[in-house]
Formats: sequence, C-alpha cells, structure tokens
Amino acid sequence: MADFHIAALDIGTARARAVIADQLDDGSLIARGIADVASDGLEKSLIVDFPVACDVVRNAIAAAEDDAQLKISDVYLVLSHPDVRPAVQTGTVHITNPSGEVTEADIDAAAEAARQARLPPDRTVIHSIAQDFSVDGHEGILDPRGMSGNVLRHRMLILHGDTTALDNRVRCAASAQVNVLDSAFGGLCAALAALSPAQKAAGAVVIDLGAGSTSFVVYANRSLVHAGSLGIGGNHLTNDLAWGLRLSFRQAEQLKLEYGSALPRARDEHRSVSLEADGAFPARMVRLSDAHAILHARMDELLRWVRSQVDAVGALHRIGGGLVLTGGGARLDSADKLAGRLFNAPCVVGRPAGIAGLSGEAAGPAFASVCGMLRYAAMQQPGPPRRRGWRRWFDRLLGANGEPVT
Amino acid sequence: MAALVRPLARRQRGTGDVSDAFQTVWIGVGNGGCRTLTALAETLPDAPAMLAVHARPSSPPPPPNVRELRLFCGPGGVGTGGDPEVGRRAAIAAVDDLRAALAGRHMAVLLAGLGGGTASGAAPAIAALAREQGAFVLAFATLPFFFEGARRRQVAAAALADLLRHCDATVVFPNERICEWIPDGTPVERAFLTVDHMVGASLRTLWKLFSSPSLIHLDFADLRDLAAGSSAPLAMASAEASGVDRDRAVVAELATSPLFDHGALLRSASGVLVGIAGGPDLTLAEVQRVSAAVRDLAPSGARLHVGVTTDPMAEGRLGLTLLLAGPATPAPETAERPAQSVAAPIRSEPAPTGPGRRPVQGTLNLDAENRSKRRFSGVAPTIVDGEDLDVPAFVRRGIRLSQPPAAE
Ligand SMILES: Nc1nc2c(ncn2[C@@H]2O[C@H](COP(=O)(O)OP(=O)(O)OP(=O)(O)O)[C@@H](O)[C@H]2O)c(=O)[nH]1
Ligand SMILES: Nc1ncnc2c1ncn2[C@@H]1O[C@H](COP(=O)(O)OP(=O)(O)OP(=O)(O)O)[C@@H](O)[C@H]1O
Ligand SMILES: [Mg+2]
Ligand SMILES: [Mg+2]
Repeated sequence: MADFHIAALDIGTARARAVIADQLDDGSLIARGIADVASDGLEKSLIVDFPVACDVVRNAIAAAEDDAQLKISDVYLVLSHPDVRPAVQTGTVHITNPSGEVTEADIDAAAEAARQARLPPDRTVIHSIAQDFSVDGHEGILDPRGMSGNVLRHRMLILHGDTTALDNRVRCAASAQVNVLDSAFGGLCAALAALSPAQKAAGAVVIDLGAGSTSFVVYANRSLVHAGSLGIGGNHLTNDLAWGLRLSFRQAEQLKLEYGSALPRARDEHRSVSLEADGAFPARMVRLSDAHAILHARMDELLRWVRSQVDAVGALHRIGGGLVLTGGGARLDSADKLAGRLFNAPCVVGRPAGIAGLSGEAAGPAFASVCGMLRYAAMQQPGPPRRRGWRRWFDRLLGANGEPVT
Repeated sequence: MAALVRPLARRQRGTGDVSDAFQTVWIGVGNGGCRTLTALAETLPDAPAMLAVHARPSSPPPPPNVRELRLFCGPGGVGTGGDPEVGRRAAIAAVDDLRAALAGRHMAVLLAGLGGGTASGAAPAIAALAREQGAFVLAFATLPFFFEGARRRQVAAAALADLLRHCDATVVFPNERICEWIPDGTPVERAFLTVDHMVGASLRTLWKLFSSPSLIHLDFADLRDLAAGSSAPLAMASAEASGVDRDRAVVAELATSPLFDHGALLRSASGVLVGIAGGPDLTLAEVQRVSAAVRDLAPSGARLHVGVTTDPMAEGRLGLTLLLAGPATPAPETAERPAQSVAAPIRSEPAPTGPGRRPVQGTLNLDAENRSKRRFSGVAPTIVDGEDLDVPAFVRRGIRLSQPPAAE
C-alpha cells in the first residue's frame, strides 16, 4: 500500500518517543508504529548518562518497529535542548545584475552571507530561517525578486545550541544502528504539528513544556521570528513539590499528575489528599492549597520568562492566533488558563495534526514534537526525500520568503 | 565567647551513674568508609570500638582492633552491584549482628563513602538502628568525585537525604572540594587516600575535642544543637599552623576553604562549632583572637560553641577546626527525636521523619537551596539574570505554605 515510510525520534527527559509513518503518494502521513517508552540518562534535556540513553533509544526504536512490523534504517531526530538561542544576522550583497534587478542568485548570496554565523566554536547552528529583506534601505520586504536597487540585505534568524550536547544527541540516536537523516528543534517541531495555518498567519506562540526543558517559538507576520529554550520543565514542578512538601520524587510526581493545578482552586482550598508511602518516605496527607501554590509559583515564573522573550522582539501584541501549549506539561490542569491570562491571549492545549492514525496518548500534546518532526520530513517532498539542498529550501518555506508552512 | 566548662558528656547520656563509661562505636560502612576507618585505626590507638561493615572485603584488611561484619547480598552473596536497595536489604538481613554491635552505645559514628551500593543503602539503615538503640548518631559522609559520573552522584544525593533523616548530625565532605588542593595529575588511588586522611583527621580532631580532658569542653549536646539549627548537612574543615601569626593563619585558611564553599558557608552559617587545639604554649589571647575572628566572619545571629583542648605533644602548633551548620531554617521546631520506633526503615516501612523535625520551607538560604535542587546536581544550574532557577520558585518567591505536612 504505502510506497514509503519515515520515522521520527524524540529523546525526551521523561519519555522517548518514536513514530513510524507511511507516506502516501499524495504526501499524507498515516502512523503505522508508535512507541512511547520511559526515558533515563537525561537531565534537563541533556544526556548525562550516554550508555543509558542509548539503551532508551534502542528500546524506543525496537518498540516502534514491533508496532509497525518493519525495520527502519533512517530516522529524523527531534533536537530537544535546554539552551537554544536566537541570533538575527544580516547578509549584504551588491546587486550584480546590470539591469539592477534582484535575482534569485542575489537572494541566495545574501542568505549565504547571513548564514555565516559568527558563533563561538561551542555553538552550532540548528536552523537558519529567512526573515525579510531590504533593498537600498527600504525595509520589511518579503520578496525582493524583480525589485531594483544597489544593495540587498537579507535578515536571517539563526537558532543555535551547544555543539557537544547536540552532537551527543545525534550520536546517541545513531547508536541504535540508524542513520540520522536530519534533525530539527523540538519547539519548531511542536509548532509544525500543533499550529494551524490560520494561527500562524495571525501570529502565535507555541510553548513546549517538557520534563527537562521548555521550548518556544514565535510566529509573527507569517514567519518564525523568535525561538529559544530554557532548562526548566516538569521535573522542576515535581522537585519543587518534593522539596516543599517533603515527598519523594515519585510521590510528588503522582501528586502533580493526579491533583496538580497551575492555579489555586477554590473547591480545593481546604482539601487534603493522601499519598502512599514510597520507600523511606512515609505516607502523607498533603494540602492541595500548598501543592497548587508551589505549582503556580513555578509555572507562573516559567511562563513569564517566555513572555519576556516574546516581548523582547515586540511580538507580544502581534499574537492574534494565540498561544498553544504542547509537551506533557501542557496537561497540567489550568496551565492553559494561566498562560492565557499572562499573555492576555487565547490559549489552547495543542495536539498533533496532519497525521492520521494517532489515538490515546499519541494524539495528545506530548506527541506534538515527534509528529511535527514527521511533517518536517514529509514536507521536504512527497516520496523519498531529496537530500541535497533541501534544508535551505525548507527554511525559506518557514520564513517570509515562501508560503508559510501548513 | 561562652566560656563554659560543661559537664562531661558521659554524665548526660548515661544512666546517671558517674562510672557508667561513655560508650562509642565507630562504624565504617562500604569500602570507602572502611578504608577511612582503617586509616584512623592505625593512627589512633586508644580509639573506641570499631566495626567495618562491607559487602566485599577491601584491601588492605583492617587492623586487628577493628571488627568486621560482612553483609551478604543477593543470591550470590557478593557485592551490591552498586544498588543501594541491595545494600539496605543486606543491612536488614544482618540486623541481629548490628544490634549487638550497637547495644549499650551512647554514640555511633558512621563513616561512609556515598555513591556505591553498600554505604548508600546500609548506612542510613544502620543509623536508624543506632537511634533505635538510643545512641546519638553522627555520620561522616563523602560525596563522589565529579568524574565518578551522574549515577553515583544521584545515588549519593539520595543516600545523603536518607542519612540526614536518621542521624543527629551529618557532616559531608564533597570529594571534589577536598581535592581542590590536590595537584593535577594525582592518581585516583592517591586522591582517595587524601580523602581518607582528610575525613580521618576531621573525626580525630572532633574526637579529641569531645573526649579528651579540655580547658573548655564540648559535648554532643553542642553538636545536636548545631545540627538542629539547619536542615542542611554540616560542613567541616581544619587547619593548623605554627609560628607567630599562627592564629591569623588558621583563620585565614578556613575563611576561604573549598570545604566551606570558599567561605560562603561560613558567612551564612546558623551556627559554628569552634575547636581550638594547642600545645602547652597556647595563650588565652590567641583563643580570644581566634574566636573573635570566627565570630566576625559568621553572621551576627550565628551561635558559637567554642571548645579548647591542649596536648603536651602539640607544642608550638595551633589547630583550628570549624564545624558549620547551614543557614537557619525559620521557626525550627524542637530538635526532639521522633517517638516512633526507628526500626521502621529496617522493615522497609515509612522512615521516621519526625513531624517538623527538619523544617524546610522559608527564606532563601544557601544550603537549603543546594539541597532543594539536588535532583539537578548532575547538570549545570539554570541561571537567568543571575538567579538560580533550579531552586524552587516558591522558595525564591518567599511563599509560605500553610503547614509542614505531618506524617500520617
Ligand atoms: N575515602 C575513600 N572513598 C572512597 C574509596 N573508594 C571509593 N570511595 C568513595 O566511596 C564511594 C562508594 O564506593 P564504595 O565505598 O566502593 O562503595 P560501597 O559502599 O562499598 O558499595 P558497593 O561497592 O557498590 O557495594 C565512591 O563513589 C567513592 O566516592 C576510598 O578508598 N577512600
Ligand atoms: N497530567 C499532567 N499534569 C502535569 N504534568 C504532566 C502531566 N502529564 C505529564 N506531565 C509532565 O510532563 C512532563 C513530560 O513531558 P514530555 O514527555 O513532553 O517531556 P520530555 O519530552 O520527556 O522531556 P524534554 O523534552 O523536556 O526533554 C513530565 O514532567 C510530566 O510530569
Ligand atoms: Mg520533549
Ligand atoms: Mg564496594
């Protein structure tokens, strides 16, 4: 039936996920094998125990292969990273065409110049995304082809991360005897899966709340204008509870999952819940008002950090498409409400779209990034991917220069 | 300086009979702990009863004045495979031998290298047992070197939390800090030897301060008082100097000691135990200068407990030992022991945390911070605008919880 399948892998701090999808002739995707296994050996989305993380990857791939009833030899890898940072760089070229018209070649040359990232050696470029152009000082041009002038400037958004950490992630994935065909930033992947074209057009923020880190991307003016990540995630929520209420990490995680809320709840003001003993930690009664105060403090701080990032590029009032929360942390009760209040914008919990055959957990927010990775891969071309030169083509798709990605 | 001559410890803890000798046992747990004990035994002939508890004999074997207790692990019986749960179970299986070794002891000192399976699992269990037997429990624990890897660090962090719960006082020595003054290129074996000596020397000094006839006596009521002031482990370091400026030299060295986080711990301590050891030439002026200098370095509210001993053999030398309690935890409740049977963890039941025994919430403080972000100790802290976001947000925001949760 299917001519072709693609596989995506996301090695998270709490869970590792792999999805194998059939890609039909028309380019559409149908999930065929799904794996969602417990992760280990990572902290804050960084691999701290390489052999253990490699075991996790093997488990995830084997589980997906079992489910799909096929073996894979290639994967696309989600890059979760606690320290993705943006840098806007400008490439300048003199328009060479005697008629003074901007050509495709000028655009490529300007893009190439902008991409010559001036980064320290310990930082690696993850994406370079076209922003806009200026011709002889006239700014904000989305497509300069056919315009005439002397000097063309091209602004690009460079996303970069720690070289060693990113290398390790790729090596870890590759340790399972698969080729890593390409990789993409987890926040971007989440947006590709969970953001509608209309939201993208109206401007939107996607926040992926993982266990180890939080990633965000900002769309404004139909293009991705800002992105980043921070090594704070669901594990911090749990750790805050464990510390404040003197619970084991496991007890605290259970408390968070079953009774957590990012906002205080009137009906829980005087309610206590009991937690079972865990090893050396005795059984306990915990006041929900305390738990909610602890969770609120952390979520509020984290979301405010994202808001300050969005504000820093002046996009806070340009997000008519609202907010989308993805990642396991998006399932915390009232997280969407809190975010909506802080950003003064509509907020929803995002689910992966554009891939058929997802159900249960796999249709939930935690699968957004791995599913977005599949769409990223599929967008390169229906059918077997063209390996050469597609990244640039794709980045232009993401940016102002092409059609916004759907 | 509260220059008090305190009643001897033995009279406080004993049955009231003055002749009831103060009974102590030192227990090395795991290979690291046993090596430290061995190093001590060789240099302290009149040391108290000593017991080496391990899952696998270590080399060199302990000298004859050290008794050995071999723990049997799992079906094969040998080694824990690094799993603290195995170590804990093995200690539980040896509960009769351990009780016998602890019976009648007023004080148990545990030496443990945390990070492996034996010490990390067995030491908290032995501490709980010792308390059950009514002993004052003091632990000296090392934390692994960075190179030992994330897993060991995590095991050690969890074990330390357990120890804190079961001991009256827990002194930690992060190996990495001890070795800040070891030259690069030192073989691993030597690095561990340095740790052995460092920990051994600390215990020896403390032992001298508490047990030998002294001008100004310290006893473990001071120690308990110190430990009760903070939920964090204690930090300890010593320095020695001779010559004219020896009093200034020892203070200066400790004021910047890596073991005190280069002085930060001293500046935020809620209490300081000051042990001054000298020879017959030790002057009152020196004692006063040293204690005044320490008082100046510590926060104004910090409690000082000063002890002074002299030793005819130490002519010309001045030794200073500081034992620091972390920053005060607000509204400390009584340092009373939990009434519950301490045998609970041995039966793998809820551990006696003692309601409110170590209050944790409250204002921002360094050591509480460190403990609170233990989970993330394997990776770099997440710092934004100079703020360490690994520390619980509610703590940094000063949010008060309605009540510390009580055990059910
Ligand atoms: N001071 C000292 N510490 C050591 C020595 N060897 C190991 N350690 C430290 O002690 C920690 C625990 O190692 P061991 O004592 O060998 O472990 P164990 O408690 O016997 O547990 P298992 O061997 O795993 O059953 C290590 O992580 C080291 O940091 C030593 O010779 N001296
Ligand atoms: N119902 C829920 N309420 C609150 N938190 C939840 C809920 N379900 C899952 N989580 C949290 O979501 C986190 C896991 O999210 P996710 O699977 O997206 O992270 P990850 O991909 O493994 O980690 P990362 O991407 O940060 O490396 C965990 O911290 C988990 O506690
Ligand atoms: Mg993730
Ligand atoms: Mg051992």
